[in-house]
Amino acid sequence: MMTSVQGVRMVWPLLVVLAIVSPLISLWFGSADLPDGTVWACLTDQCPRPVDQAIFYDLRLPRVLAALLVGGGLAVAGASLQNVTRNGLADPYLFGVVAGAGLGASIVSVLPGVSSWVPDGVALPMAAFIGSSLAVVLVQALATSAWARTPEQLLLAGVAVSLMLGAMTHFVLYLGEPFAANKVMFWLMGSLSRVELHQLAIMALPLLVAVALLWLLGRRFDAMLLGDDTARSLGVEASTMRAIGMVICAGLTAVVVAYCGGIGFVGLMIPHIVRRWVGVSTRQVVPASLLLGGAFLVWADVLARSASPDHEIPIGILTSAIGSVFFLLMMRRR
Amino acid sequence: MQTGVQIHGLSLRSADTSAILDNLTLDLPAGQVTGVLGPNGAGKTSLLRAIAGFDFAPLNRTGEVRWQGQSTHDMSVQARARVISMVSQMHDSVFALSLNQVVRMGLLPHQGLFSMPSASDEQEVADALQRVGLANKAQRVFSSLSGGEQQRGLIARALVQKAQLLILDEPINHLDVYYQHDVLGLLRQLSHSHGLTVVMSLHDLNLASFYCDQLVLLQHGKLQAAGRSVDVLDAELLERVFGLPCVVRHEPHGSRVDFCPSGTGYGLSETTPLTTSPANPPTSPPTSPREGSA
Repeated sequence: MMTSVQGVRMVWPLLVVLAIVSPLISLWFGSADLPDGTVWACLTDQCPRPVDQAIFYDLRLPRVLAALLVGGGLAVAGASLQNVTRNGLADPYLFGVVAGAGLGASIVSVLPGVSSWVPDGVALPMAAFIGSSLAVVLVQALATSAWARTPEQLLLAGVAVSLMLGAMTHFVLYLGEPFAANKVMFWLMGSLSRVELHQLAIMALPLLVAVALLWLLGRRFDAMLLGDDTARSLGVEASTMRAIGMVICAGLTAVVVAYCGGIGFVGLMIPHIVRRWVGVSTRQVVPASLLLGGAFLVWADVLARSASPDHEIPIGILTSAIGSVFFLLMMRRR
Repeated sequence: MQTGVQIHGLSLRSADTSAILDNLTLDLPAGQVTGVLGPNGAGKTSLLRAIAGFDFAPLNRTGEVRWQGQSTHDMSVQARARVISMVSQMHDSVFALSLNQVVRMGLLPHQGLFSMPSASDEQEVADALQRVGLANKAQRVFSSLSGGEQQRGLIARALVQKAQLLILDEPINHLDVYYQHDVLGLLRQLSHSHGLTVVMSLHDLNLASFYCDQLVLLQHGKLQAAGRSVDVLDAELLERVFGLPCVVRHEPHGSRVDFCPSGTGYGLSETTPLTTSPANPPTSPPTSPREGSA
C-alpha cells in the first residue's frame, strides 16, 4: 500500500519529450515504403516526388496527428469520468457512447436511402455522432433523475444504456443485409486510416476546450474525491460537477468514435498510470493523461500498421487486447 | 451568550409523511461545543445535515435553521462553505490523496476559478497541520493514516476553511480510547480558545458530558432534552430513550452514566457482577424504544 505521495519531478519533461518524439519517429513507419531521407525531406517541405508528398501529407501525417489527438482525448475523457464517479475502473465506453455510435452507424448503413441524403463519407461519422449524443442524453437524463444520484448508480445506469443500445444495434444488423453489417462491424473495430487532415481541427477543438475546462475546474473536481457531502461542505455542488465531467467525457468520446470507430481501454489505462507518476490532482492528471494517451496511441497505431505485412490490424482490437491484460493486472494488484 | 445556531420548527418528512425530524426548536450557543445524542435512527445525522444547509430532496423539509441570524438553507453553496464546515462519517477515497491535499481543499471556498497557489496558502495549510499536530505527516497518503489522524486532518481542513461552525458526524467512531480523547480534546480546545462553534453527534454519553458544553438528546426525531449534562443526562429519561436501565452520577467535570442491563433477556447470567444498582431495575428487558423509529 502506498503510504506517501511524492511528486516525480522528472516525469513532466519525460512526458513532453515522449509526446513530441513519438509522433516524429512514427512518421517513418507505415505500409507504404518511402525511400531513405524522404520523410525528413517531406518534414522540411522538400518532398522529392508528388507520390511521396501524397503519402506523407494525405495518409501518414494525418494519421499520426489523429493518433495523438484521439489517444489524448480518450485519456482525458477517462480521467474526467473516473474523478466524477470516484471509480478508478470507469471508462468512457461504459457509458454507452460507443454503443450509441454503433447504433447510429448501423442504422445509416442498413437503410440505404439515409446515406444518400448526405455527401459520401460523412453519413457514417455523422450517424455515429448522433448515436453517441443520444447515449449521452440518456445517461445524463438518468444522472439528473432520482434513480442515479450516487456514482455507483450512475455507473450502473451507463452500463444499462450501453447494453440497451448494443442490443438495438445487433437487432438492426440482424435485419440488415450482410455486406452493410460487415462494414459497420469493421468500422466499430476502430481505425485511424480514414481520418483526413481537415478533420483534425474538428477533433482538436473540443479537446482543447475540455482540457481548459478541466484545468479551471480542477480543484472542484478534486473536492469530489472525498465524497459528495465533503464537496458540498467545500462549496462545490457535486451533481453539477458530475454533469460537467460526464458531458466532457461523452463529448470527447463521441468525436473520437465518429471519426475513428471504437478504440477502447485507453481512457481506463492512461489515467491510472499517470496517477502513479504525478499524483491524483486533476490539474496534474489531465495534462499528463493528454500527453501519455497521445504517445500511447501513436505507438499502438505503429504496431497496428506494422505488425502484419499484408494488412493492418484494427487499432481497437490492439488497445482492447492490451487493456484487458492491464485490467487483469489491476485486479491482481487490488 | 452569543447567538449561534437557531433552529425553529424544523421537520423532515418522507413521502409517506413519517417524521425523520419532528418540529425541533432549539438554540445552540456560539463558541461552545454541543453534542447531539440519541439511539440509532433518532435523527442525529439528519439534524446535523439540516444545520449544514444540505439539500434533502426528495424529503419534505419545513422550518428553519439560522446561523448567526442567516438561514443556512438560503445561503449559496459557496457562501455557506465560508462559514460552515461539515465532516461526514464517510471520507475515504479510492485515489491516493495526500494529507496536504485534503487539508488544502479547505482553501477552495475562498478561491476563484483562476486562482493560483500562493505562498500564503501553503503557510495556512502548514499552520493548520501544525495546530493539529500533523506537520510531519503532510505528504502521507490520507487513507494510510490512523482514524484519529484522519479526523485531525479533517479538522485541519476546517481550520483552513476558516469555518466558524464545525459540524462533525460521529467523529470518534472506530477510534481507540486514546484518539477519542485526543480528538474531542482538540475540538474543545479549538472551540474555547478560537471561538469555534462545534456541533457533533456522539454515541458515548460519558465522553459527551465531559467534552461538550451543551447536549441535545433526540429520539424518533423528537427533541427529548437540551441543555447542560446535569439537565439532559437523567437516569429515567435515558432509560426511556435508550431502553436500558442506568445509573447517573454527576461529577464536577461531567457526568458518568453506567447502563446496567440485567436479567436473562440480555444473555447475561444472574451472577454477572454489576457493581451499580439500576435506578429502576427491570424484571425483563423493556421493549426497545428503537422499534418503529424513523
